[in-house]
Amino acid sequence: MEQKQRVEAKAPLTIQGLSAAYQKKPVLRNVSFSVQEGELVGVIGPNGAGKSTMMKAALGLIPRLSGEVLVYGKPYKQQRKLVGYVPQRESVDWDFPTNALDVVTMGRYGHLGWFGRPGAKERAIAMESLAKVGMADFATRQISQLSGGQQQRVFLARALAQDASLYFMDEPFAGVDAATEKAIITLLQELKRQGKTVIVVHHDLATVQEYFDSVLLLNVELQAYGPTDEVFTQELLQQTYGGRLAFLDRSRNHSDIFATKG
Amino acid sequence: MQSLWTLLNDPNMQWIFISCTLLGLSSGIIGCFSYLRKQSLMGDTLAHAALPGICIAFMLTGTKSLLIFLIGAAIAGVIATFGIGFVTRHSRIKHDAAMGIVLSGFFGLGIVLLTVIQHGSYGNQAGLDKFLFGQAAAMIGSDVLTMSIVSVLLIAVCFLLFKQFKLISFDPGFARGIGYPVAFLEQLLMLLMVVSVVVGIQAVGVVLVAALLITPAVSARYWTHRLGAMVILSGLFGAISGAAGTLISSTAANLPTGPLTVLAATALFFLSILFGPQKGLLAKQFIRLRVKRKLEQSQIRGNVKARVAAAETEKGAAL
Amino acid sequence: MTVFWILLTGSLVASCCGILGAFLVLRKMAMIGDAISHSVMPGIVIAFLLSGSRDSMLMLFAAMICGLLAVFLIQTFQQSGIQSDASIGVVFTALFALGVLLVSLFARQVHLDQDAILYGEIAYVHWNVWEVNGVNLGPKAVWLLGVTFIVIVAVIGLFYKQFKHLRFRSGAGRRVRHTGRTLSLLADGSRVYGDCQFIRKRRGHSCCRLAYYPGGHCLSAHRSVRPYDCAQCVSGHFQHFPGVRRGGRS
Repeated sequence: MEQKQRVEAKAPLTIQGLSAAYQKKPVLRNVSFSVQEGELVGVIGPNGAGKSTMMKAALGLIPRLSGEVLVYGKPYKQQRKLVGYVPQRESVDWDFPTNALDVVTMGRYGHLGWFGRPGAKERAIAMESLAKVGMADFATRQISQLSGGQQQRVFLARALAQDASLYFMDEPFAGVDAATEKAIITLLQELKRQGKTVIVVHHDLATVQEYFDSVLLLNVELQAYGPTDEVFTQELLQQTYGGRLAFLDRSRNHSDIFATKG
Repeated sequence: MQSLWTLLNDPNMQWIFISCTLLGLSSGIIGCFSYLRKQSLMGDTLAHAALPGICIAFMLTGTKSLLIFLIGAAIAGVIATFGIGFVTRHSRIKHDAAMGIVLSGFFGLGIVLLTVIQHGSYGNQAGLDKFLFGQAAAMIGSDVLTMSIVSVLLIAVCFLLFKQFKLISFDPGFARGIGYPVAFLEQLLMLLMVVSVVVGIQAVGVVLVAALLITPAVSARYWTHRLGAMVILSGLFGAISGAAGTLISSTAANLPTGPLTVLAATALFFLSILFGPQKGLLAKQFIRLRVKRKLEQSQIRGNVKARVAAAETEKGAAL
Repeated sequence: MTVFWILLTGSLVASCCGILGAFLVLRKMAMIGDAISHSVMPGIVIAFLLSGSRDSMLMLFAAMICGLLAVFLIQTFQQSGIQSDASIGVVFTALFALGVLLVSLFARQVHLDQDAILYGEIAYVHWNVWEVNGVNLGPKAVWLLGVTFIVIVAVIGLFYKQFKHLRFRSGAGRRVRHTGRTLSLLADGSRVYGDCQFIRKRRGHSCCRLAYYPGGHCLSAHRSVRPYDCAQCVSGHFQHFPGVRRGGRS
């Protein structure tokens, strides 16, 4: 019993009874789960199921109604440096006067202290991170002149530069080109190899089994959470998506599941 | 030219000149952040909202000291920002309309108070209406000193917190994620805006002081794609406008400083919009021309190839 | 009768602004009303310098041209990539500065004091009456504003559907872009016309805000646009009365 508690205390992320609301409407109700170290976790659910909300509430970006978020056994506020966050690409104005390298350097700001300025060391780390996502050639490019996929990769590089142990990624695959998708996957595998934990909001059901070790099914409330083989089943998906899922179960391992809007 | 020289030799004038330049510099710098945070008109709102604060400060103390006005206006400005936040959060009214409501409410109150003061029995109310359009030459020594010190302080804060301001302007969500107190920094930026507006009021006037925050920043955006350079340029443009406005206005009687400063800033804006290398009209035309020429050349090459190919097929057919 | 005329003038101003304000608020362009009211300043001053009188059609015309110029400049800058906020700020401060400068250069001695343009005054509208062959037809102001009001109501009534589309111009309305352009010019035109009218009556500053003041109030109460317009007029009037009672000093 005691040993089990110790294992849980070391879990990269433990969320207990998390609830959040926009205005008066609750969009996330009483979500609890705990993530194992070194896992790639996919957060799956229909539109408006509160996937991004869960991420933002866990990170304290929006006020939460209730619940507790522990990162490696301690409250999130004490562990900020261990957490990296990749927001949705549309969340910022890409016309901002800055270049790709500069954006990635922002990932180091958390390590710099209040009045410190990024120097050669920070730029070197940023450059390295850019190289990891295959964007080294675009370092001095103005960010508005990057394609959507390239912008997404810049955001990923910024998270890498944070050098965190636990990563939250909000729809990194949304609207990106094939090259970027491949780059992201390689990066996720690389992070996993380094023993880091990544939680990804994802919407493409066809690729879930290929990409993730664990799956978290969410529709306002937590529907199911566990290893992909056990949780990513027709039955549980049906339960999560309600009647809004059409199955084309041609093969036994559900590789052809398409979500459609009912 | 001679008269300009004698003006600049006057130590009093020198001080006014320096303080207006500093004012332009600091508002240009702060304006950059408010422009990038898409809050340009916030400066306008804050300037208008400062009027009742100034009037009440005058009514309470009976003195026309910039420092006291500064405090009154800062309080009014802070109330106004909270008012806007309150209206946007608790109703369906959007930010711009909320700004309009607060702006008109505060300015209306300010005008009523100004009228009360002017018709009332306050001893030295003369010149309070200068606050509407600004008269730099009318400033006294202590005002000039306050203005210079405050401007330098503003610049220093922006320099020290450049990293933070940059991040909350670009991606406030990320800033919050790495533990920056975003709400505090946003309020601080707003406060800096209030302060720069208030110190600018005496030189430029309530109605136009917003231009010092907006126009230099927009102009600077045409010249560079780097925030650091943009901030410096914007400060430079602001400083030039402030200096030019003060100089021209002191050469003749009855020339208010505010409009001249604003027109100088606008002239710089038009220069930028025409000649700016990043987004300027000429630069755009130039790039378009070059692309067009390239396209035409490739088309000509394509045509030649096509013609050669056609000739060859003809030959082939003839054979 | 005097009070009636003053109230009617104020109410007409409020109605004109309120109706147009609804669309401004919905298009998130509330501040453009502010911008126009500042921008007409050079027009008024130039017209005054040319005609020498404070009450002429020329003044109205010049103010309208300036207002349209401001709207045109704002839209041009916006399309060239400047944020709408900033383009509004740049344009109106420049034009207003020009106006103030002209006043201080040329019109300081004559009676076109900044107060009159800045704060407005409707307490004396009943003195300036329109007489035809010696028959008193009521204050000129009421006639002008009445015509303005009818024009605005007619334009909005005729093109109601299109105006409603304009609200969503970025999305679905893009398909009707061409009509949109013309319409938005028309909208701006009538808006400017309205603005000029009440600048003459209540001279601008605090009062031009009527355009979005009631607009903002009603947004929280009404969901569809139609009742919104009506409620707008009503609330515009309520807003206005205290001002009148203050003796038109506002």
